[in-house]
Amino acid sequence: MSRECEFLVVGGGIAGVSCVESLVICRPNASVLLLTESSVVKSVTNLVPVARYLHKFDVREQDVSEMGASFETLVDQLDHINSSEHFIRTKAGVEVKYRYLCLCTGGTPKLFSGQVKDPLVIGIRDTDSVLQLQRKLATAKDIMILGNGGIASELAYELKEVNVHWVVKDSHISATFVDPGAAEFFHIAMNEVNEQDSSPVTAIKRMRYSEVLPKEQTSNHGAALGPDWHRTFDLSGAGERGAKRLPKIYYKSRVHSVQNLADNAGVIVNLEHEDGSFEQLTCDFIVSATGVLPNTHYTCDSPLKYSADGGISVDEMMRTNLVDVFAAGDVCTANWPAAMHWFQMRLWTQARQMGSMAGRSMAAASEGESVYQDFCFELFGHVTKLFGYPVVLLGRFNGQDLGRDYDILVRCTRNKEYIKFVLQNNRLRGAMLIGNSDLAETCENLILNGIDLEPYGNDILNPDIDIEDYFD
Amino acid sequence: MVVRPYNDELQYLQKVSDHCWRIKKGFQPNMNVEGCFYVNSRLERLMLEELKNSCRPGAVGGFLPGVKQIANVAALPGIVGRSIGLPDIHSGYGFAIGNMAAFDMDDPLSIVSPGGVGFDINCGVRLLRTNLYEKDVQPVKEQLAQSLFDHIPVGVGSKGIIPMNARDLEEALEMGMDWSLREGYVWAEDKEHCEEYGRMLNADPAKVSMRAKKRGLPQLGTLGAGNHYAEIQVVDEIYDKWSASKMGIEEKGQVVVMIHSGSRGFGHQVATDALVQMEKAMKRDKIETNDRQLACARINSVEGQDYLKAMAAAANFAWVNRSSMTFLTRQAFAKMFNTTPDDLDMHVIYDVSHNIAKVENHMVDGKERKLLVHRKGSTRAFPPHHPLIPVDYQLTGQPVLVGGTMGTCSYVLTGTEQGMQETFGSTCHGAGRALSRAKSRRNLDYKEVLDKLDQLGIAIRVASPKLVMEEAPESYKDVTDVVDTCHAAGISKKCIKMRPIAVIKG
Amino acid sequence: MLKLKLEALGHPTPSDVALSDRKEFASTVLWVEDQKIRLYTIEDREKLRNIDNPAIWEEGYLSYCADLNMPPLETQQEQLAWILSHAVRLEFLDDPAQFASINSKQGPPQSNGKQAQKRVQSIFDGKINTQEKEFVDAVRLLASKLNVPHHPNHLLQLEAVARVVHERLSPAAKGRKPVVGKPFPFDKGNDVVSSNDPALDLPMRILRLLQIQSLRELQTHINETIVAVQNITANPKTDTKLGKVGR
Repeated sequence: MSRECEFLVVGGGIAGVSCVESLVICRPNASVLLLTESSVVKSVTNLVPVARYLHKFDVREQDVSEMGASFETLVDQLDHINSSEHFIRTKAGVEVKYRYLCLCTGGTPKLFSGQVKDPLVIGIRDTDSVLQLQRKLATAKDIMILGNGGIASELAYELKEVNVHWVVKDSHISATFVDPGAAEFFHIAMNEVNEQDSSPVTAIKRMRYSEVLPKEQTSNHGAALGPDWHRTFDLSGAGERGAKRLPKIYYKSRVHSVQNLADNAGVIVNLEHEDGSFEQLTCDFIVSATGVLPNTHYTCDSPLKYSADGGISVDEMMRTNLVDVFAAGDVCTANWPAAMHWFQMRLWTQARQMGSMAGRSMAAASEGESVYQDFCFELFGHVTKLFGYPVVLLGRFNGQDLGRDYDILVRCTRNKEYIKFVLQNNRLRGAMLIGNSDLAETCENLILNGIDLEPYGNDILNPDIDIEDYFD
Repeated sequence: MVVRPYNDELQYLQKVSDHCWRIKKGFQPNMNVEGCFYVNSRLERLMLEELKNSCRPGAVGGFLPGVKQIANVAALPGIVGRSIGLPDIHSGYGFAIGNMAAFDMDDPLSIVSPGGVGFDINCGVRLLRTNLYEKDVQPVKEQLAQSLFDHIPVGVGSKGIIPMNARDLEEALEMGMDWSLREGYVWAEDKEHCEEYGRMLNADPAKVSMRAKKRGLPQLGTLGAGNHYAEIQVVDEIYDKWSASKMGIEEKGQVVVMIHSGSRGFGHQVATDALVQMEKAMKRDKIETNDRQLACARINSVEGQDYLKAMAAAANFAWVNRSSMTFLTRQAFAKMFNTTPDDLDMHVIYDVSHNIAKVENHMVDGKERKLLVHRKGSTRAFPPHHPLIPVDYQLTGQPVLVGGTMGTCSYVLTGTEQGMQETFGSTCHGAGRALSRAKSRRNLDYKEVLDKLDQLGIAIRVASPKLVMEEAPESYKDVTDVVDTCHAAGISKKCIKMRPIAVIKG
Repeated sequence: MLKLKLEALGHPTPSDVALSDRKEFASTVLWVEDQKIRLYTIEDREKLRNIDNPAIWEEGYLSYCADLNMPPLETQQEQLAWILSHAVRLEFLDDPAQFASINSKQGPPQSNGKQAQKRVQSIFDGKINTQEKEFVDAVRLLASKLNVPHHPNHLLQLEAVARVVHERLSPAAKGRKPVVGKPFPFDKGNDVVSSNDPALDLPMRILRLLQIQSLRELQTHINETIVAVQNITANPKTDTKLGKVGR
């Protein structure tokens, strides 16, 4: 069995679907084929600009058959790439000839590997794993969350009616995104803000599509979750109703050893703290949200070039070392000279940006046109919601790679906003905006323009002054 | 900056009429000409209060009061007439926003300053009329607003409304609205009702940095609107029935669409690039200014010419943007009302720029002179019969579109002969946002947060409000005050007032 | 206006001419004929000299008007204005070079007449002598029937007649809908021309309106051209009328 197409995109996650969408826009008459392991794919919806190069969006899951007739789909798994002869082979043995190929095969959650039986560790990464979590939560009283990134932070806050033990390796929570000051801001807010849970408890809204999947398919390979994923899931445990419990946080700690209880009743975890002391905890199961590893379980006729972190190395046009093979999203590693205020982080935002860039770059290559690398790669930007607050992260928001050669200007209103400017030589290098600040676009411009802010001193964040219009 | 007690400062200011103040030479050092500003009694109080606050000891900061900025501009080489502050003036980078100044093109020392144009080059307002009435639109306004600027990744076929690849962009920068016309996205009549016919001929994309070009292109897969907004408005009041009818506005309740946008990040980069170049040119040509932010270069220098060419490209880019949004607006209305934009009479009433520098001829001391007119947060307002305004408005004077801040009312004014003589044919551009308008009182609190931040071992500064605000001023310059002042001062004439019924923030 | 013309002709007391006075009117006409027009020989002016005898003067004046080819004008004021304009024109044609410095750059107006002559002659292909009295009279008659104002050059007048016929009476024009809408409020609007001299104000307004009309026509032609070009350059899938792009 064999097929043929001009553009072949592998992966039904955000990167893959964004890539397909770009291709369809740029080359409306070309044949585009999406190869996806699951018939449910993710696409971006409700895109709202937060600033010029920054958007927040929701992720919609839908069956590939609903995506419209503008491209074709094939539910199968990539097995082998023959880049010299321009075809791939799937696990089911289908050969697909392509002109341009884009690999958006995503990442696999880094699972806490050890002596724990599989069902007692859940890697929160994709929709299927959330469903698994939901099932398990129904009977759970104590759970442990490992990890300090976005998903772990959101989970720690969203879980209800269950005792949460949150183990983080850093000295403050949400270290991937926020600094200790902001973490403290959140900490205070979590304690003081009498949370009227406005989001009604909704049972999972998504219907289970009847997926026609190859037998060996495991739930580990579904597409990644989108931002605000927890909104659609009822994440309530079996504890007392209505009691709001704050997670118990174990700072600077790591799991030393784990012991399974009989009958899958739970695990006993031995935590090791930084000072060398140990602590023993019992919980129903462990949720691991410690990041992802690029997912490249396929073979290739000539070796793909990988970066040190295991991702496929790509240039600024999302090209790999193999001719006519592109890659985007979590599976790839940016290997171009990074702009002053950008760095790679495996986030929805970047998956989308890379996917679209790859699509546009492939379309341009096929038409012999030239495109510029999108400007979103000039400035790191991420929007998320943590502990109920909108959070905008721009540039080197935590002074990343600036050493100690920078200073911080902060404005903080208890339980309302936390605004941090990272300044170097009086130029804005990064910003963290928590709460409704309306400053995102101004900050974006200040960072990109590199305006000397020396004359304004601390007044640049003077609450009595509106700087939005000033730099118009 | 000269720091004097408030009462000493007042010696340099003189009220010359109910609506105009004069700023005498000496208010700031090296003033070549006098300054002036237009206010009514309320705006006057705000203006003076702002000055007073800056005179308090210890208040030396980066945000100069508007009056001081007007005076600093008056000290720039080659300025003619007066440095003029419009009623909506408020502090801005270099020039205050709402400051206009003209420089003699025949004086070799005259300068051009990016700070006098602003970062969002050719930010402007376009007004589309319809033959619909409020009752037609009110029930469907939400849907209309939604479909107007759907930020869902552009659908099939939308490719091309906005230049996306390198070649498209180069062409659009050079051709401005002619690009949109060529591609078929706008009507021939649209061009006619645009300042400069939607294209500055001296644009040169080669003078624009690669970074600016990249920064201007739309965000991947979206029309990425940036700070654009569009409003569906209804006519609330007609002051000049006859002029309004020349614009196709016949009755109260008629629906119009206002589009407010500029050159996005593109303009910012062009301005930033120019500021860097000009700082060097200033050293070389020994140009001194009162404020470092007033970076400038001689008009005839390489830097000056390069900036003007790049600025023109940015201006063209902004017209393409407004044209694209015009297209989307027409598309949305046509879809909603199941008819054609033609049948909805969706013509462009006018399109103004309020962040731009242009070469114009004006009478100065009884002689015609060629001037480079900087208008930052100021709109051109030419009188009837001026050759540069469209034939349809030869009798009414140029329409001036004044947008309030989002959600408040907006106005259409017309240019007057008096404005031509007094303000180089310029008037206000919108509501003014004064410095000290805090949206909500904030109780700053750093205790715990600072303790935690200390562990980073990084120098930490904290923001605080000014020492004492004598009174918590609500110093927002309301658009109605601003427009009334311009009308009373005679520098433009009120024609139509609109109020919004739906806002689309991009 | 009369005053301006008298001044231009060098009348000794231009401000003092009271037209309501029959005698003064008569003497002004005589002065113009004596000094400027000189249509008659000195002897033939005898009747006009009888200022004190209304009957004889009137008779002389009527034939004088006819001999001047004056169009039928109702009031004496209009008639005098016409005679004065005629005199000014003759004065100018005597030595156009003399006025070159104050003239507009577009060349003296008689070239206008010459062009008209050429055009008319090319139409008739030399088969009709357009200077023949019969022809001239026919043009004048046609003009008066159609209410076309008088012009000293009958060929220019013929052109105006042609235009009226084309615009209002041709078969194409008949089917055309009349221009609807509010008539232009002449005295309103934001353009003040010359508030202290209504005599100057009105013609200025008219000239400006004519200028605007011709500009409008030019702009419309430009727009039509753009649309024609758009049909070639635009994305074929785009229909701006429908506000649609693509499939």
